[in-house]
Amino acid sequence: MAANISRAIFRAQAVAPRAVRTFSLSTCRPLNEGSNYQKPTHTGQLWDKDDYRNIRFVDRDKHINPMWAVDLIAEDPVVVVEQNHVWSHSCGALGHPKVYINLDKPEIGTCGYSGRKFIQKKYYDAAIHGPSITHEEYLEQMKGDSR
Amino acid sequence: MATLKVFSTRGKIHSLIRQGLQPLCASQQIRTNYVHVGQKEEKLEWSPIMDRAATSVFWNELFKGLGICFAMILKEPATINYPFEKGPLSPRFRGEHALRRYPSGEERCIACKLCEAICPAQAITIEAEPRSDGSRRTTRYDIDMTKCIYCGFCQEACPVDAIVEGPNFEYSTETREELLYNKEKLLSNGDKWEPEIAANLQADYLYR
Amino acid sequence: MSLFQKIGNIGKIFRQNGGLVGSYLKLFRTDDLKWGTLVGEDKYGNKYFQNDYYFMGRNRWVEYPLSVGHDYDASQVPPEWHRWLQYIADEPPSQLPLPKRKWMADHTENLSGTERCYVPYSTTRPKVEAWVPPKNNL
Repeated sequence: MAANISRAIFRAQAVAPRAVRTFSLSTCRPLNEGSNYQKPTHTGQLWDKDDYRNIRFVDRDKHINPMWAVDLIAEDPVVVVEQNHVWSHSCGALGHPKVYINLDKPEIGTCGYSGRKFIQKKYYDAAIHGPSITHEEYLEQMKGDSR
Repeated sequence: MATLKVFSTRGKIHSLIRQGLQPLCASQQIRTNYVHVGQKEEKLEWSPIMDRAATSVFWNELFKGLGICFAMILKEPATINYPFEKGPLSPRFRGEHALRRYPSGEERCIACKLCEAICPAQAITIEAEPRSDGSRRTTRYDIDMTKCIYCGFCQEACPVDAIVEGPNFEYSTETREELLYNKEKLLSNGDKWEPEIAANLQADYLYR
Repeated sequence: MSLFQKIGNIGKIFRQNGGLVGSYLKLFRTDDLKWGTLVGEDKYGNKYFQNDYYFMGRNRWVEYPLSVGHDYDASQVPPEWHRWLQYIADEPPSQLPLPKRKWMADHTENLSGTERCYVPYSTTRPKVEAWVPPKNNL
């Protein structure tokens, strides 16, 4: 409650949040983002609206990373493999320790480090598993960057 | 002062004593190769006296100093004009921390907590939880930058180059609380500095 | 470096910085007058110059855009150019662009002391949740 009152008072004073230093000569600089203190983070953190800890976001912004790794890795295509196993190391030295992934089961095998998805060719179904790339394309990617 | 010394006879008495004592102590070792390291005695002829007087009357040293000042204006300065020019930096420079991602966008950190274990200042706090898609990632990755001693052990302990000390050192803050970094801040740092961090690691990975 | 060359350099400096008035304004803003070749410009308006006539440490420099006024800050240099400006790499990103991914964020300067500064908060979801009394089961 106290947080709400003080926030209302502070908001009434501040016309618009601006990125201007105290002793600056310039009077205004555009602000691109509004207050997003009521948005959850990718770790699921969101304080209740009446939480007293929200007082810290008065006239300040909650910095949130909009790129959620869950969504980004979900868009990643499945690698269709001929054999019943695959190595995942994401380019070796700049990637992660080598992981052996057994693909005998009729499901997607996921690398615990990089989140890359692998599946055997005979179990692959585009309708269920989404877009795919071949193992050769995957190896080509491994040459280029540390994926 | 100089004119007073005209009447001084100190030098003459010294030489008289030395010559008079010589026959009395024949076995004494005589040193002749002296080097004068103290203040030179001023010559007391008229022309050096006039030279010294002219030097002090016409402020010779002052003009010499001004000449050196003018020469230094024309010389290239030994300092750099920061923030327009910046000094050289190593690709291994250990600056502000950042959490990196794989090119696909997946976070590199899998919460193995090696960095937390090795941190000598105990500046890192990690909590982990399975994510909604089942993979193990951190829910808390806090670095207290006021505790951090920038030793670089965290980035050396990390098996996947997830936590790195980036090349940025211009992150001074006006309040202390802004230095208590949480995971969002570290990830945003990584997203911001990834082009340079990746290039620096690429340049150096053969040597570590 | 003869005296004539030095005088010629002064002429170059005045020409590049926009005449006497421009040079005065530039000197007022940057405390230094130099001449060099324009290596590139980033999307934030920073211009990067190089002239190896000056010694290392002074041979690469940045001119912050006039839009920031006197609020120029060393942290306004984006990472690609930061790498070149701090002599980590010799190739500027205009020649050798660094890889760009879709999740990479735009550069922001150090926002400490402004209203957009970073505010620390716990990123975990609350471990203790308040009990909500049942309404209809009585």
